[in-house]
Formats: sequence, C-alpha cells, structure tokens
Amino acid sequence: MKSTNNLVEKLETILATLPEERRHLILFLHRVQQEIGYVPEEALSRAADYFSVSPAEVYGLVTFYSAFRLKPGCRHQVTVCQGTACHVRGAPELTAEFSRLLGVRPGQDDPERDVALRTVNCLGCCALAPVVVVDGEYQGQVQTDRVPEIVKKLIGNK
Amino acid sequence: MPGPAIKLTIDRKTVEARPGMTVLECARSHGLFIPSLCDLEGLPAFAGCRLCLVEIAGRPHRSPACQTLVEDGMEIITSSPQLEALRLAILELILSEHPYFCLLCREKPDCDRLKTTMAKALEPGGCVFCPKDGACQLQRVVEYLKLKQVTFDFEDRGRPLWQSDPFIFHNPNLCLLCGRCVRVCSELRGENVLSFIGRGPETAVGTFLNRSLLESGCSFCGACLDVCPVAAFNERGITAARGRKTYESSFICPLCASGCELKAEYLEDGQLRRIIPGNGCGPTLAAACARGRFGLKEIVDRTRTESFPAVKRDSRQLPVTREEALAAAAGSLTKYRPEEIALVSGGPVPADGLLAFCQFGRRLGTDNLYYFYPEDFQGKVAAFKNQRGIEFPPKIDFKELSRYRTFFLADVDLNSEALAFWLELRKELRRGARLLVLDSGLNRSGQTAEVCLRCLPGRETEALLALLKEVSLRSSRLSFFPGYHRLLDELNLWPEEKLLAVCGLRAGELERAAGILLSSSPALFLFGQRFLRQPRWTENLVALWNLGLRLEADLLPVTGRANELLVPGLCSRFGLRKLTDLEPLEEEIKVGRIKGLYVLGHLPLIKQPELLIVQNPFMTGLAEKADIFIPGATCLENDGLLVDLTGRIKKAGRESNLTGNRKKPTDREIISRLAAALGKNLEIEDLASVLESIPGGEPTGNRCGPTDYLPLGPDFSLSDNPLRPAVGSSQGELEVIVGENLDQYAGLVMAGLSPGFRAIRNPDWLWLNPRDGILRGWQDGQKVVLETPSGNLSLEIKFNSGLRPGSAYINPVLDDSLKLEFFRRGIIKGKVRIKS
Repeated sequence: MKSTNNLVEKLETILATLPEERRHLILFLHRVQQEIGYVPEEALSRAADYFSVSPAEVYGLVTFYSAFRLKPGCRHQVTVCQGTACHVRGAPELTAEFSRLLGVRPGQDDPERDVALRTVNCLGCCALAPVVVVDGEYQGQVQTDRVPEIVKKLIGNK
Repeated sequence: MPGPAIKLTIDRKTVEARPGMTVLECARSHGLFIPSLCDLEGLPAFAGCRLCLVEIAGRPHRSPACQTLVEDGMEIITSSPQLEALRLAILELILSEHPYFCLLCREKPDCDRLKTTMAKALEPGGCVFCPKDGACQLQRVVEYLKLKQVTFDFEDRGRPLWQSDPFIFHNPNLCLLCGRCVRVCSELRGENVLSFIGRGPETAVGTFLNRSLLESGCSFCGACLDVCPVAAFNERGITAARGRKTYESSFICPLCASGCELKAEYLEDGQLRRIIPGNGCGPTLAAACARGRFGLKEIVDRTRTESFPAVKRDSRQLPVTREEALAAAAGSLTKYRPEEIALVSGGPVPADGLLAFCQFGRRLGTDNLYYFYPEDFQGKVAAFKNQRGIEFPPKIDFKELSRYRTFFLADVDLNSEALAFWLELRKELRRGARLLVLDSGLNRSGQTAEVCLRCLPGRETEALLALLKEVSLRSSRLSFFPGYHRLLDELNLWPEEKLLAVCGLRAGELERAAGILLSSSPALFLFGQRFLRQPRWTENLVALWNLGLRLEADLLPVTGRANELLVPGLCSRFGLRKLTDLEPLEEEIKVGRIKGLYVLGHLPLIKQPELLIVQNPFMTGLAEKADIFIPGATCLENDGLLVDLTGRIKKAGRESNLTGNRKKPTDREIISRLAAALGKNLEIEDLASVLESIPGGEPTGNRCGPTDYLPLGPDFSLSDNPLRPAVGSSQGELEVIVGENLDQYAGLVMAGLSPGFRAIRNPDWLWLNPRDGILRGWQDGQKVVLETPSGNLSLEIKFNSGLRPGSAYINPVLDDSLKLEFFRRGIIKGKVRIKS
C-alpha cells in the first residue's frame, strides 16, 4: 500500500511540472524512467489520463522506443547503438564482445551481477559511431579492444 | 471546398478530377483498379501496404496512389511491367508472414468437389473454413496480380489467438498490419482501444498492456470486423458461407435515435448468420454498435421458440391462429365502454406502427391513449422554452455541423446514445474542430475530448457558471444581448474559487476549456436527457443558455430515443398523452376506472386489469400474463419506418429477399386488421405531415426569438453545497448517477439473455473509479448492495477510470418501481455494503 502511494506521489510530482498537453508525454515518460528506473504500469495509465492520450497509444509508444523499459532494470546498463552508422563501423561485433564478457545476451538482464545489455536503434550521435552508453555516459568510437577495460570498470564499480 | 475540375492523364487517358482527391480515388472514380490493401474509403490514408504504387512523370520515385493528391497536368501510369513486378515482390513479402496456402492451392478449381485442403493448412488457413473466404481482399489482389508462387518460406508468427472476448475474435497470425482496424478504432470511432504495439518485425495490433478487449474498455462496436481485409478480425463463431446461399434483409435499428440501417444475413435454413451495417456506402461510413449487431442477434439466437398468438381460457394461454386472436381481441374490446379502455405504447415500436396505434385509439373513442417513457425530455425542453420565451432548434441537420469549430457535450454521451451523431461529429473533429465534455457521470465520448470536465454529480450549473465567468474574464469583448450586466452582477456574487470548490473542477482545466471556447468559435452546445434528469435541471439549462449566448454559440438537445421527435406531433394530432410513471395508470386499474388495457410493446406493469391485450414480438413476462397475446414482427423482419434524431423518416433501403413465409405482419398491419375487425377502417396518415405538426411550428434558423440572458433567479444559491465527506471515510455516502440503459428490445434485456453481452455491459454494475476501490479495499467484480433510503439495489463493482473519483454510476434496466424512481431522480445517494 505504502509503495503504491509513494509511486503515485512521485508521478504527481513529475506531472506537476508539465502542462497537460500531449507533446509533453515523452518527456514525462523519460523523467519517470530517470526517477524510478523504469516505466511502471501506473505511470502509463496516469499519463494517458493526464495528457488525454489513449492508453493503447501510450503503450504503443513505449513499446516502439527501446529507450523505455517496462520492468525494473539493473543498476548498471550498457547500451550499444545499432544505427546504420554504428552498424557499418562494427556495432554487431561490439555487441557480441560485450555479450561475451558480461555473460548477458543483448536485451537481457543479469540480476546477479546487476548488469543489463541493451541495444537501441539510433542514439542520434552518428558522428561518434560506434557509440556505447555506459551507465548514462556516452562513449564514442569504441573499438572492441576497449571493451574489456569498460567492463572491468563497470564490474569494479559494483 | 472543391474548386474547379482539373485535368490529368491516367494510363494516357485524359480524365477530370477535383482538387484534393487522391490519385487512387481519382482512378477508382474512373473505373480503374489499382490493387491496395490498407486503403479504405473514409479512413485517413496510411500508405502501408505499398501495393498501390504508381509512376508519375517527373517524379524520381514511385508514389503510393492512396496518399498522393492529384495535380493539374499530372501524368500517371498505374500499370507497367516494372510496377507489376514491384507489386508482386511486395505481395510476396506480405505473404511471407500470412498463410498463403489458401491463396495458391493447386486444387482450388476442384475445391467444391474435393475439399481436400482443409487438413493441410494452418488454422484457419484451410480456405473452406475461413469465414472471409470469398470476401478476402488478399484473394482479390492475388488474383489480379496473377501470383503463382511465393519465393520466401512462410514464417508463422505463432502468436496466441485472442479468444477470451465475446463477439470478436482476432488471429494476429493472419494480420497484414494494414492498420485499418487501428485507424477505424481511433480516428472514426474515437474508441482508441487498438494501437500498433512494438516495432519492426515485432509489431502487432494490440491493446494497452496487451489486455483483452473486455479489460481495455472496448465498446464492441465491431468496426474492426467490418474493415479487416482478411480474416484477422472476425465475428466469434461465424462460419464460412461459401457454397451456401444467404438471404439478406435490411432494417432500421430501433434501439436508439441514430436509426442505423443494418442488414440481417440469414442462411438457407433460416438461421441468422450475422447482423452487419448495411447502408451500402462502405464499411467505414456505415454505423453499427454492439447493441444492434451483437445484442439483437443474441436476442434472436436465444429466443429460439417462435412466438405464437395466444388467448387465455380458464387462466391458461392456448395457442390460436392470428385471425382468432384478432377476433378475440376485437370481441373483448367491444365489451367495454371507450373510457374504460386504455392503450399504452412502450418500447421501440416502428413509427408507422405508433401512428396506426394512435389512430386506432382515436377511432376507439378513448382518451386514455398513452406513450410510456420514464423521462419526458422533449416535454421539459419545450416547457422551458415556452416559459422563458427563448428558442433553439429541437433537432440537428448534420449538414449544419461543419459550421461549428467547437462541440461541447453536456451530460450527453453521443458515442453510446447517438452513434450516428457521434460519427458525424468525429468527421468534424478530424477537420480540426475541438471537443469539450462536461459530465459528472460516465462518458465514453469524454475519452477523446480535449478537455473533459468531470464535475461533481448535480453540479453542472456551477461548472457552467464558472466557465462563463472564466470566459467573461478572459475576453474583453462585451456582449450586447439584453441582461448581460445583470448576469455579470449575479456572477460577481460568487467568487470563482467557491464555484470551483462546489463543482469540483480544477482551475487549470477550466482555463483550458475557456481558452478553446474563445479561440475556436462558433461552438455548438449539446445536452442530453441526463442533463435534465436532475433536480436542478432548469438551472442547468439557464447556465448553459447564458454561456451559449455569451459565446454566440448554439444550443441543441440530443434525443436518445427513436421516434421521440414524432411524439409531440402525435400528441397534438391524436391526443396522445405522455406517461412518465405507471403509478397513476395502475391506480386507475385498481379502482376499476380502466378495465381493458392494450399494450403495444413492453411495459413494466405490475397491476393486472380485467382484460390485458399485449402486442409484442416476444413472449415476455407481461405477455405471459396477457389474456390475448398478438406477436408482431421483430425489427429484423419489419420494414417499418423510424424517425431518427435529425427528424428524418428512415426506411430500410433495399427490399429484403426473404422467403414469403418468414414474413410476419408488422405492428401497423396488426392494428389495421384489428381496427377492421371492429368495423373501423384506418387510413394511415402521412408520417411527414405528423412530424411537421409539432405545436408552435419549427424555427427557421438556428437562433430565433428573444436573445436575452436569463436570470438565475433567487432560488439559486451556492450555500446548499453539502460538503461531502471525503471518500474513504467509513460512513461516506456515494453519489450515484443513474444513466439510461438502451441495451434492451421489446422487454428483453440483452445482458439477461446473453452471457457475452453481460460481460460487455452489465446493467447490474456499479461503476467506480479504481482509486476509490484502492482506498476502500473494494475489488472489481465484488458483489455489493447499494443501500438508499428508498430501497436497496444488488450490484457488482466495476472499475472505470473514466469516472470521477468519489462518484459512482449505474445504468439499471428499469423493470421495477424502485429503479424507475432512481432513474427519474437522476442522482441518488447511497452507501455501499459488501455482500458476505
């Protein structure tokens, strides 16, 4: 009961800063994810109500963008961009290397080591390709030989 | 507005077109076929299937015909070897995920004889079982493009079927992702239940959190069934019609004032296959809702036994022929003096039947000619207009709708109460008009409104006054209609914060609503019967009138019931009297002033007179008590007329091709024959002339008569606001809004007969906001008792976030005096007790 109220409070605090217009929906979802770590169901229904967007459309939106998570994630997160520029500069190899060293398949969580490996369709900074985001920090032109160093730093952080 | 025609060439032929047309529309209007799967007349273009690609001179790429607008001098090629090759490749890609065994079967020519394919293909790819067989648009495209083989391996998506919903079945593995269902659900119907979920190859048509349609608040209008080009969306349990002859019969649905034309499709053995929208102008422009297409079918399906005429002898009903029943009715009616006979019409009856009924009553010489309906909406509106000396039109002409830029719905849910109106209004919304809703109860139309003002029950007046105040404050423009300064003085008495506190609205939403009203005018203010079925209905109307006048907007009452616009004419012409309560009639029966009662349709009557004659399509509870029971044709078999909410007389377009013996006499025919048996010939009058004989005549414009601001009067005060106990406190009373239940026909309740319908809309639901449930620990589906001073009602909790927290909503079937009383009061107070 208490956690529900806590969540409702958090959502309302975020909503209070945003006008009730549908163009602010994505911003709201980003802030929820930043704050809570993922986008819970309650946030989707509340957002639909607040921004006058149908729940189905909100759900369609969060499932379209891979940036949004609908389940609680891990503490550490490695995101490898799969956009065209990154792809031609070796993103698939990069992803495989991360997967091998972390022992997690792309898109999967490792609850034991608290690390998640994600892929996204484009991060929009193609000049830096291939791009990897490690715990929110963008790293450009990452080559496979840098992967062990990144992973070590990440797991060492634990 | 369409400008002058422009000229362009399609396949080297010069053709004319209107600017604003798409290339596809232009080609079709000249009889050219361009294959397409996602385009559908009436839906916004989507350009998803890419089959309609055409070559346009001067453009480097091929363009989708459905999304390309015609231009003067355009040179279009719709068919060339390259285009056909491209289309074939696209079609092959589409078919790589859609079972195509049914499309490319080598045994197809001999199928009728062999029928061997059924076991080979994936379910329901076996073409003889596919309910879309013969009507599948993939079949048509494959035939046109002469596809011989698919080079890709078929990849079964292996997604689970949607099997938990009543009436609607979805097989995502057959889906082409053409988006027709998504577009019809959101753009046309404003239901917003379906959406594209996911991205890339994972994309599927789905709902919020992939819940079932039932849990997603789907209204089961069935529009997705009508638009699906393949068998992905289908009516549950429907079988393939291939090889079997079907019979069709068009009729006008009498269940609300929309007057939708529907088509009943029968199989050879007389079984009703389905009911589909049937006005012949394509699936997107035709209207139908769950009530008409599924509810009526369930009633027909579940009252299998045909009703035969019956006459009571020695307190038992015995079957007789129709002639015998009519003779018995005529014989027993002559036993009484005219003033001892009463005729009552209740329930949906065709307009011509109602007219014959009135004439018959007149010829019998009785004054006791009644029309039963628990709410006299038209009467209230007319009385208000007369009393205040104002005028607004009683009905709408849909052509007028394009004039308005904002629509304001006050306590009227067009989506559920007047579908035809809702679909017209949605067209305007797509053209940029805005929608505002003020409702204290449940309003499906409110989901898509830009601002939905959910005020406290019965506080519509304050909400409207607060809005009026906000509008006057924000706009410096003065209003020159008389009485404005007095109104401002009155408004000054109430601080806005106080008004807001009383009606329970937030300042922000009010500001936005006022902003919309001021920025996009003119507005049309619509109100329904729930707006007037409140203790303070005159104040509601005064506030709405004043707000309308300030914005120079128009006011419009929305009739929820078929033939309601005909009733005033019948009253003035034949002395028909409106009956909102059965008690006076039962009293007359009790004291013996009325001995013979003739009921057309259904009536929740308790007291039985000496002689009871019932004319109704079905053997209902009342019919079982009848001395003489004369069954008429149901609305499906009836080619009866109906007056819709625009005041038009509607008649089913096409003649039915039903065989002769299935035709039953209509209500009009039965009454005429009964009158003839009594030696009175009825000359059925022209309906149109009755419609026009509404007392006072019709206004010619949308605003005539005096244009004065109305004073609220000394009776109005804000002090009577009961500061309601907060929701969650133990002795907290709920304020319950009583809505109307239209899900019944001729005394039969759809939810009572059909478990499927009960799952969609149960008349025993107590609608609550889920937040109230969390606060009080109530569960969805929990059985409860609503305790009120007048009596208790057994209900079941149903959560809906469209309702204001703290308010509740019921829409019971009015089958007893308690529910009738609740209905007339509009808002009741009660406590909820959990049933142990």
